[in-house]
Amino acid sequence: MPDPTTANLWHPIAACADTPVGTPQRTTLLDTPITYTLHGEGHATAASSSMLPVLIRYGYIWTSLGTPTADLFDIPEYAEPDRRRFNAASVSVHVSAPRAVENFLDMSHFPFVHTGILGAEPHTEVKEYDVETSAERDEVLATRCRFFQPQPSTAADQGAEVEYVYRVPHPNCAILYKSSVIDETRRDVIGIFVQPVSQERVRAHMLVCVLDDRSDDETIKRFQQTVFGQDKPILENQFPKRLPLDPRAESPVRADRVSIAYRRWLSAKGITYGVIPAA
Amino acid sequence: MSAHAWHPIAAARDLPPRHVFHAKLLGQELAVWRADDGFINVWENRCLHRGVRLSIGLNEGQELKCQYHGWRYASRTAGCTYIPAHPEGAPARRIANRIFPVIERHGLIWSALETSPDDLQTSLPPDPLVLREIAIDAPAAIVEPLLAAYDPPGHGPRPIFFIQPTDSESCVIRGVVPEPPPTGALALLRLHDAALCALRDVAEQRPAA
Ligand code: FES
Ligand SMILES: [Fe+2]
Repeated sequence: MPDPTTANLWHPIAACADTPVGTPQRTTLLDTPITYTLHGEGHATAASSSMLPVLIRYGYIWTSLGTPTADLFDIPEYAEPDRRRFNAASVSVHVSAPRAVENFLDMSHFPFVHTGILGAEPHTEVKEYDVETSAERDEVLATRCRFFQPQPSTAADQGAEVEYVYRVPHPNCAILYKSSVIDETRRDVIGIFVQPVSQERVRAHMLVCVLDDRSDDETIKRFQQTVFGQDKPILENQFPKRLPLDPRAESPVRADRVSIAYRRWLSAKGITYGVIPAA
Repeated sequence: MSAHAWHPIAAARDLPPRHVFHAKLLGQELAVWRADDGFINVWENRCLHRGVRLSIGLNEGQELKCQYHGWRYASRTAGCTYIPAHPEGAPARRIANRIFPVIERHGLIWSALETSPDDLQTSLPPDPLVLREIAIDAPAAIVEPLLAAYDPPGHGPRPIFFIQPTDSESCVIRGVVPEPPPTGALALLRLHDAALCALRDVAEQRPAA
């Protein structure tokens, strides 16, 4: 049984664009088999042993096994009409949801895992950045994250020092904002919405919401799929698969301050699903 | 199966230069690698930083480099020597991986989970013919009696068998022929391979007692 916090969350179960209209589909959420149907015109239904609440947001169908809040976290940029926005991929990964989220928040692996794209040796230093856990907005926020990237996006011709902001507004969802190479006053938005299939298996849904006037959808998708394809084998070789919340369980360094804050925030929420709770 | 006893965990040929071998003993995953100076490292197969298997890391000769964030660990001590996210200065505190004892003998690599047992006692000549290892999806206790009765027709000198207990459900048979005939090694390897595969089929079909 998932803990009450997890049970009451909205969870993503599919991208609308990848779901045939009018035909029932199956998936698994929190060890529970679910049937859902996209009816068109922004309307969907879902059921396990009984009917489940449904929400359509950011191009995804969301549901809950408990009693969720009225709405989901906000991504204001999603409404901006000149953005390219779609699901880049939904990928099954043999890992817990919080491990997948933590990987998404981590810059220090860029030179080693995304070599030549999001990082390259010798540019390995993670400079000081700011982390806060906002009680009022109930989210973890990391700002002033800077990193040198050889190929920051499909719209980039050359390497650049890129500035990131990371938001974790939901235990299994994170959003990053990175400087746009097209318009220096705006930022590309990329989200990872993780569907916990079980405590140690997920479907990771990746939202892109970017400024790019020259790449077609397939190119943008392929870029994200390449990047995530590099993360997947790392995640699947991480042990234990559940995220240890005890601060002494692994060996964080200064670069991991956002991961430390995220683990603490999960602990404070009383989450036990997909984690190893602190003693 | 004692954590204090020596068990084979690999064949010597599993450790070519700059390779990291993934082994398992009594449920414990191990990253095994030979440094450029010949020293063999047997470590817990987990990076201390964020838990990634070190067996997918890079053997850089005198150090092993983790694939995830590039932390480096020194041969012999398994101490972390470099954290690329903070390149200035040495790691602030002492971070060292768990290491296990090791002996290379008779073409096999031996280890033990608990601190060094007494020296490995075998009465084998130094250069036996090492058979291909046979991984079996059945516990060592099932395989032992089958090996005791092992007697394939026309096999020549009898191999000596060691069982590597990978965990409570599986094991690996590691056989060596002490004094192989000067010719016909390949035929001998083939003969034992076929006979041991047949033994494996028997072992895997037998329900655990
Ligand atoms: S997990 Fe090995 S360096 Fe981070
Ligand atoms: Fe990554």
